Amino acid sequence: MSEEQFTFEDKLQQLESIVSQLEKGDRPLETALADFQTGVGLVKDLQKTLKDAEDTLAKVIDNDNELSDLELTND
Amino acid sequence: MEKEQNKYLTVSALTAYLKRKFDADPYLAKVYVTGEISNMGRRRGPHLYFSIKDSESNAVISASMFGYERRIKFQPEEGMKINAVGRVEIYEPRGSYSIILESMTPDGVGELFLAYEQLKRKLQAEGLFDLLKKQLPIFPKKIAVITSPTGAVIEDIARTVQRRFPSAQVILFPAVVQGEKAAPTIIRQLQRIDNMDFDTVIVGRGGGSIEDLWAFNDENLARTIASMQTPVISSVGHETDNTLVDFVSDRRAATPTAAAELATPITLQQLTTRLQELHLRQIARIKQMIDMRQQRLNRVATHVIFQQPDRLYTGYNQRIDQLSHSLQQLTKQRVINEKYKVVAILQRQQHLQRSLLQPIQERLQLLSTKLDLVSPLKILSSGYAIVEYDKKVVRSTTDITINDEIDMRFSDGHATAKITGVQHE
Repeated sequence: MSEEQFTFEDKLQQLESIVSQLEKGDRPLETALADFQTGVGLVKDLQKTLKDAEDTLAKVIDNDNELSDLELTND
Repeated sequence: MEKEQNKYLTVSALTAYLKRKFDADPYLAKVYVTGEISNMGRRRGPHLYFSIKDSESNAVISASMFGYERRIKFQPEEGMKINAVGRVEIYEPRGSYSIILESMTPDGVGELFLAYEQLKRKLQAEGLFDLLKKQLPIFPKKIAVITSPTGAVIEDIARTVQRRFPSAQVILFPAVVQGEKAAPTIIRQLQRIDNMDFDTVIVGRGGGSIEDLWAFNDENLARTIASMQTPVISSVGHETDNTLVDFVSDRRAATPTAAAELATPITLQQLTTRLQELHLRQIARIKQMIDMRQQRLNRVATHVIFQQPDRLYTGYNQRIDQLSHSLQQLTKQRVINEKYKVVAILQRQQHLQRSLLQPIQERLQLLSTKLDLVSPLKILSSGYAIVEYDKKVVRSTTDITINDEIDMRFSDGHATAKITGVQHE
């Protein structure tokens, strides 16, 4: 399974489970370190995804002059 | 003369007589009369006074209708052909006769109306009016209008649709809307439209008399509309006019403008507003989604494991320290223990030595003293020497020859000598 097939949620869940595994501390050090590296990679990856999403959203709103003038209302 | 005089009647007596004759005559009690309305307009409150005259001649009869509003459903007009039922009466004060009307229908309408009612009952019994009404499309692209190409209907519809939902096309299917040819042309246009791609069709006509609107009570037209795939809006005549088309159509409108409003349920303005609202809502939702995930990620990303990754192995370090400490301790202990063991064994050994060897030593001591007494060394100290050759004691002259090196042991040391001569004795 290639990494691209995992959704943001999948990755976030994977990250959370890595962290809770690491918290338990009942894994061999080699595995723990490998997991940690994976975890750091996931954090970077997910932060990038979120930033891209925010940028895209900002761009969409900016391109829509008609709507960017409007106040956001909570309904 | 008196008799002659008696022959003469007063006008009132004659009139009273005539009135009695009229009232007693069964034929005059219910008279069916047909003619044209003339001298209209002398209305006095709830009652109607006019004349009915023959179309072909000038013959005329006065007519009255008391409380006309509850008797007739139409507005009588000058020149209108009518069929009336009433009784003929003499009005004594004036000596005039007139027909007091019970009922009156426009000529021809009676028959038409009857036909309409019969047809309506027939179609109703078939369930044609109870068919499931089709939904009108919310965003029509093409609206067909079957009506007269001239007149206000198409104009009103086009203007209203343009105002409310400009993207919808209004396409006119011209039709005759009155007379013999009306129903067949309308049917043909309906069939054409149903084979094309229209969202809605409006069948329209302005107001008029029942004869004007008669085409819209056509049985085939009603059946065609009932079997249409395309939703049909009828806008025939005014609100008070009922035609069979109204009953079989999916929606009915009082005016062409109202029909156009039904055909465009949502205006462009409403749609734009709604779209903007949805757009803003989706932006808000996406923002919220991003924020929620950001928070969730932050919770994980700021976890102490990522902040201080050395925690991953500090545990191991501690364990290693502890273990090496324990190892040292244990080893030390072990060495100490072994030392004790060795010391104990040595002590035992010494003890054993003492207990075992002492008697032997004492004996040995004794023996060595004794031995010493008999030691050849003792003899040596008296001046004897032991001669050895080749590590053996020389006991005879045969054991040595000239040039042999001999070793002589004295009580206090050795000396070596060379044999220079041997004599046997």
